[in-house]
Amino acid sequence: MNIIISNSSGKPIYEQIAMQIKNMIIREELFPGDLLPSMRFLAKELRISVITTKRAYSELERDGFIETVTGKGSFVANKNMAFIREEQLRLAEEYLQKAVDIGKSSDITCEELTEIIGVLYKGE
Amino acid sequence: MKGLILKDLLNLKGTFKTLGVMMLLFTVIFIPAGNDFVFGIIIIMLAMMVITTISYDDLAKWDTYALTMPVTRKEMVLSKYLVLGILTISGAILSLIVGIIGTMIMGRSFSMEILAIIGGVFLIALVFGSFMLPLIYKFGAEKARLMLILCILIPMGIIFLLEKMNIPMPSTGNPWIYLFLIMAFTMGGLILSFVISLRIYEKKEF
Amino acid sequence: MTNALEIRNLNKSYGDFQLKDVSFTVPKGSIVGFIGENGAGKTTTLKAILNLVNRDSGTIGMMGMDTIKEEKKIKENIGVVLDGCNFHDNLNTGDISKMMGFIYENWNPVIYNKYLEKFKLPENKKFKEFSRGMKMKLQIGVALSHEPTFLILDEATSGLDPIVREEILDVFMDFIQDEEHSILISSHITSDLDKIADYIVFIHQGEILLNEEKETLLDGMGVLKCGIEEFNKLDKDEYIRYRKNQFGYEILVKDKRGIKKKYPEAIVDGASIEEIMLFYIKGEK
Repeated sequence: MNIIISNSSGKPIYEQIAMQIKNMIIREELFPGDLLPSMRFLAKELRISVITTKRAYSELERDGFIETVTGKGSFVANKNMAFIREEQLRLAEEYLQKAVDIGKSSDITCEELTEIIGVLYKGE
Repeated sequence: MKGLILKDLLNLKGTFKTLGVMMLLFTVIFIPAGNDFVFGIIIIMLAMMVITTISYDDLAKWDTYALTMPVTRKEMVLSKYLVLGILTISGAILSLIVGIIGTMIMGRSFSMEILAIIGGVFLIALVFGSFMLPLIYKFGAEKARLMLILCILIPMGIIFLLEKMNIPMPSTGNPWIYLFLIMAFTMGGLILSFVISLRIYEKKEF
Repeated sequence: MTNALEIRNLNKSYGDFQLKDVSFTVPKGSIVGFIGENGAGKTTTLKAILNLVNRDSGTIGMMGMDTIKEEKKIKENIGVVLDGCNFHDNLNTGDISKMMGFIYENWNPVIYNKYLEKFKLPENKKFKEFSRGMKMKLQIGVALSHEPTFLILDEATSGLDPIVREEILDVFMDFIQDEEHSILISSHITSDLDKIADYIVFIHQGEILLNEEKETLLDGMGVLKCGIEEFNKLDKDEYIRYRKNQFGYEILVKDKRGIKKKYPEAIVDGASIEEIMLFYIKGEK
């Protein structure tokens, strides 16, 4: 598996790691039950702090993507992929609702908002 | 502590070789001349090598490093005294061997005198060491050269004073009691020296 | 026991220099990078931990034990590398192993030889023929060969070229794979700490200025570069220190994302540990 982090991207390193693993799970490059590299090993290979990898894994666990068993390691969670995708869509919709609320109350049009979404996607 | 003693002996390997050559020279020169001086030299030279081990330690900043290991300050000091003991005893044994060989070569009989000289110098070397070690701990091995001179002058001065004050110098009347007293004095001196050295060393900051 | 090392209110005076109320911990399983200028108190602190120097007051505990009361037991379990200390010139690697076998209960000659091989240290050469890098690698090998759980490293990579340094950092990272192991490393080569440290403790003139998770530090802090007009618009609590030159201002800010949001046109770069140090020491408030 490839995990590539950038020191100059705006995002904190733990977020980058979490996102890449998340995407691998969603794209089915990783399957439920697959063993992930240990937090310490990942830290060593990427030359970063263990605290960072711990945080990344915590986030993944919190969002239901992985499970950590003490003494054994971290595994891709045995969850329905479609269900996870549903969850993420719901989360995105929640945030977008907030943007829409702001838009409506300050006379921002739907087109303007859509444009912003387009820019943000590209800005990655 | 065995490790510390081992380290000192390993360090002295090179010095032993040089010393060995010198001793051979001395022996060849002095024994035929009937000069028993050589025994004194062997023992004193070996005993003073304890100063060399301390110099080596200082050069490598060894003490600072060693004290990060499970080695107490007491062990650090005690090991030096044990090295002094080992060197002095080795010196005495070597002298004995040289003496025996010498008498065999010269066809003389092995006299008690040689034994007495070896024993005497052995104890004197220990007394020297007792004076030197605390001084080295306090002032460093560099100043030890100077100290060495003091160490010779002070005991001589004391003996001189004693003579002046007409305190009867022990005759060979009862040599065994005399011997016993000197050995006790030397032992006591070593112990006192150790206690002083330890106290100095425990307060030291590295 | 969650802390491999705990220092509380360490005070020590040395003539005109003083360690004042130094306190910090090394959580088990972590690497703590200890930074500061020469003379700031790093080495003195490390020496106080090791009882090489006395302290005026304060408690120091390692692995749950007091460093004075259970000194020998603790020292069996720690590996130390001190800059400037060497093995005697006349000895060789075999001599060291024999010696250490008597000193440490858990001395492991097999592991020692593996490190000698790994670091390519010659077996029958006397140390006076060793380069500086080789001497350092040897000390590190010795420190790791008696099964320690804690490493105290004082400038263990200084004077080494980048290739050797990476080798050594890898060895430390390997060491920390076991989460019972911890490292306290003081270094001027802050770029090494940028990479491997979990926490950064910054000491300056005998006092601890900073004690934080490295990622949080590097993630949050940034350098804002602007002209005098913009600088004057800033609130005092928006920045930590600033430096000015003939052509503008450089400002160390605590929350670079916040600043970027507030002033979207501003130039805000990331800050390395070295830059953070320089700002604290040479910047103005």
